Amino acid sequence: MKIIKNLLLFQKKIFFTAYSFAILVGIIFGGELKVIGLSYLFFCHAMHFFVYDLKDRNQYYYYYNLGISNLKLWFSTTLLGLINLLILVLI
Amino acid sequence: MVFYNAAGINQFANFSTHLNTLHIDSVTKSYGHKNVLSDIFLTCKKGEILGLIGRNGSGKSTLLKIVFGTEKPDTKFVKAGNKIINTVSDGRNLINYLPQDNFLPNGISIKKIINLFLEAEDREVVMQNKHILPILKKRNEHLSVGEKRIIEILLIIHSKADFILLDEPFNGVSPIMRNYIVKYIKKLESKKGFIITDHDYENVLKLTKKVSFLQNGYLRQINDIKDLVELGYMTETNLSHLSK
Repeated sequence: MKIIKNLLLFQKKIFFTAYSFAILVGIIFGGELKVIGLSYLFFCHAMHFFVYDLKDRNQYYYYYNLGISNLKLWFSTTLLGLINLLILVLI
Repeated sequence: MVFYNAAGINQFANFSTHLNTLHIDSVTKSYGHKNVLSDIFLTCKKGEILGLIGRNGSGKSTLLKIVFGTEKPDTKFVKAGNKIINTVSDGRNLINYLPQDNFLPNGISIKKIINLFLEAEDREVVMQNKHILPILKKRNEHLSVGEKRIIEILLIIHSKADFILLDEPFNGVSPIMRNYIVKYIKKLESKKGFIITDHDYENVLKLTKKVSFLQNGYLRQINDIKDLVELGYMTETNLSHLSK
């Protein structure tokens, strides 16, 4: 549970900005939910890279000290993007 | 019943020592043609504090990061207890590392960070700490460098990990807080194994007499502080100041 809560904390920094960009792109390309989902899948990875690899690189150590590796953090970003896409496709 | 091997050595005593040891062996790292670390060997037992000193760029932080699993070495063998550590995931609840710079996430209060980072039984002691109580509701980004450092140190040393790697813990901390950190680590010495590196050699030497010096990629055990003058780490003036 502690790991999941910390992964959510990690994703919180990415989610809102990435979703704002995804909605904007979705609207530009006709407002389809599937397009928003695909855009989010792209922007969540872009934001992950920008926020954690370029801007606040040292914050990785918070998660490393919890035993969460870089690979697991990237996997959580991808998983969240895919779940979001699946939900938007099914709606 | 006590089990002895052929040499008459108590097998249980050996096994228990083995479980309480961080074993670092064959660590090598080079950048291009420059060997930063050459076949480093180091052991740290629970209840032991090791000091690691060296000039800027000698590879102290690189060594700690390799042990922790975040820096890729050329070769390494790290074992905490009976578990071989290759990645940060392997070292979960075994090795924790305090980096040189602030690593706490911004945007949430210190109280929430403590709740998210520590196990329930370890939270109270940190939350009730006299230096933490006034900043519990503040966010990381609103703290001073010294305040950030003290919360980081407390989080790392109160984590479940058996071995704690502290990279410049006295960085940006006032002299009075440095004394407090020294006393705090001393208090927890029996419970964990510590490897500390800092340029504040006075406080490192207050913490431990077991000091190793890293130079040109090689680790040398310091038996007498005077050796550090010969090795060019400190001057005679520094030494006389230290003996006062």
